Amino acid sequence: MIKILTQSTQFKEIKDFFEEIGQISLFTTRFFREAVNPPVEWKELFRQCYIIGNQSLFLVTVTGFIMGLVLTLQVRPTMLEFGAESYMPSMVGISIIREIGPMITALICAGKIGSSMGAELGSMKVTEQIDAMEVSGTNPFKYLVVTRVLACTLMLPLLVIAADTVGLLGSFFIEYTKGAVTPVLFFNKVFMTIEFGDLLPSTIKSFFFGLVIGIVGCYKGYTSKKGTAGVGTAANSAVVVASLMVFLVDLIAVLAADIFYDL
Amino acid sequence: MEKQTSNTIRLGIFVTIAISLFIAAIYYIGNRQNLFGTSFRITTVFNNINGLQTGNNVRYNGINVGSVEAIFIESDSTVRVNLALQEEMKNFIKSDATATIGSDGLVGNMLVNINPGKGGLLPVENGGEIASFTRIDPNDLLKTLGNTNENIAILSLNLLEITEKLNEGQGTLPMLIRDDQMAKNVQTALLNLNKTSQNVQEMTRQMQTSVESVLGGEGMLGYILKDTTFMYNLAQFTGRLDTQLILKTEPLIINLNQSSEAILAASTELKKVMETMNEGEGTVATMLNDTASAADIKTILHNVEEGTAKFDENMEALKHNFLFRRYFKKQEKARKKAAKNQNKNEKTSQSITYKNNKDIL
Repeated sequence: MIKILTQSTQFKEIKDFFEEIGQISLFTTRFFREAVNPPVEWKELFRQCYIIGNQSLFLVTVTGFIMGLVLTLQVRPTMLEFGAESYMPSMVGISIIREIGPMITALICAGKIGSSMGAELGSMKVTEQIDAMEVSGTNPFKYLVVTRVLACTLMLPLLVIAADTVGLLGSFFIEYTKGAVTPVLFFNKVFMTIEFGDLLPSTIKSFFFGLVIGIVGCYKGYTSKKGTAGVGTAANSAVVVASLMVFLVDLIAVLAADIFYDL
Repeated sequence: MEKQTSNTIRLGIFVTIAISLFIAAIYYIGNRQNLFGTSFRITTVFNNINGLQTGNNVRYNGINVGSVEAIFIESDSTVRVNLALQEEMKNFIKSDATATIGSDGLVGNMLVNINPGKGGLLPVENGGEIASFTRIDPNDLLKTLGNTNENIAILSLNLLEITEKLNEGQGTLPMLIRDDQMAKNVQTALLNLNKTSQNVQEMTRQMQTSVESVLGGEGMLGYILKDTTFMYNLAQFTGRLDTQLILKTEPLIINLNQSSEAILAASTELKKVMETMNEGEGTVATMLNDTASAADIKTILHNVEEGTAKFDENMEALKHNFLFRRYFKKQEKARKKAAKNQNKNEKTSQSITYKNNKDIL
């Protein structure tokens, strides 16, 4: 009997999982359909861009700077052992621009922006503000979801560039204090090694990171249920799923870049 | 409303800075690959490109001047590599420049090195081709290194054997090393050599001094070399000597000539006599040529010898005969007396000489 119950519970979980994937797919399709159809809520879009971009900038740059410092401090002794100290700027540059910068920024945004989106839209949902918007003739999806997802998609690559730059500055800070490298030499060596095959895939995948974080955050908030408790669940699951999706997108992006750029 | 405008301005600043950084990054990377600005293209052909890829750097005298634009297989054994170079390098790369494939450090990326030509030729034109030099394949290098290692192993074994023999004292070399006397001899020889060289040095110095003094006109030789009148006098003297010599020696030579003619005539006569003797004419020729006469003469001489020996025996017998014994004893006594007187005279003269020397001292 218990066995049957377990089986039925598992079956329900699996069914719920695929149902959620289907719902997210429909949500994404609706986003693209609404995004390309005018009018665009420019004011709300800029407001969301400011919230997502400017208000996350400090957190992202501080994290990026610390990552640059830590990476250099951790790798430097090993590179010194091999007498490859001169390769430090190249190595750190490639690491930060290819992977560390985009991933750290995306995870921070998944935590900060995804949770805020889930919580904000979830609370609007449970307090029936979204229903009120529909009644008043405003398209809540276009106003709330499209602007947030677009802002997230557009701002995340810019945050990644900021994180990369500050991360390289952090690396330079350590190299400057521990070694004897000038700023010109450091950044010359960084750009001597970096190619379009490093910069462009990481920038393109940042757009997808932003899209995924925005979609997951908005979906979890927009579809939250069960009253105020559902708000917390929406915020929590938005962070978890968005982070997981970031890793998944990163894997796909690396595989795709490997095909196009022969990394 | 005011706050919203302020936020939008902040957003604009952030977006502008971020996009500027992105464009700057693209520019730096693109500039390195000569995507921006004018460039000129040259091509070269390699047999083996050792993993060179599109986008790898091109260096001229160690400076990055461009990148590899395209690589494609031309035939089954050649690979054509197109290089995009900075426009300002056009005047420096001559048509006899050569391209080689190298690497940026031991583990760095592959790159193309352009080695400048000898100069004097025209710069390579856009789309022109330069010669290439395929570097040694690392596998070949390792193979050669392996052979060298084997040779070194054999050499070390041989060296070990030699060293063992040296330690055991076999052969000439250990003897030379261990023989103290040899070492002393060598040391002595070196000391002698040192002394000799010192002597030679001293001699050279003295010779130099002498030559300097001679060249300075000192001494007889210097006077001869320096004095111009001496040479004139010497020439005159030589001339006079020649004249006197000719005058004095001329009659002598005439006499000598006459004597030689007389000797020639005499030798002719002698030759005739000898010929006559050889032919067996006359007494002397008979004596020389006739073997019977020669045997007779030999017999006569034998008889004379025997006669003389017998005469000696007779004389010895006379000495012991009582008639003549007294005469021979008297003669013997007189001879001994004369010898005694002579010895006495010699001793007297020696004592006188010793006495005189003593007086002188």
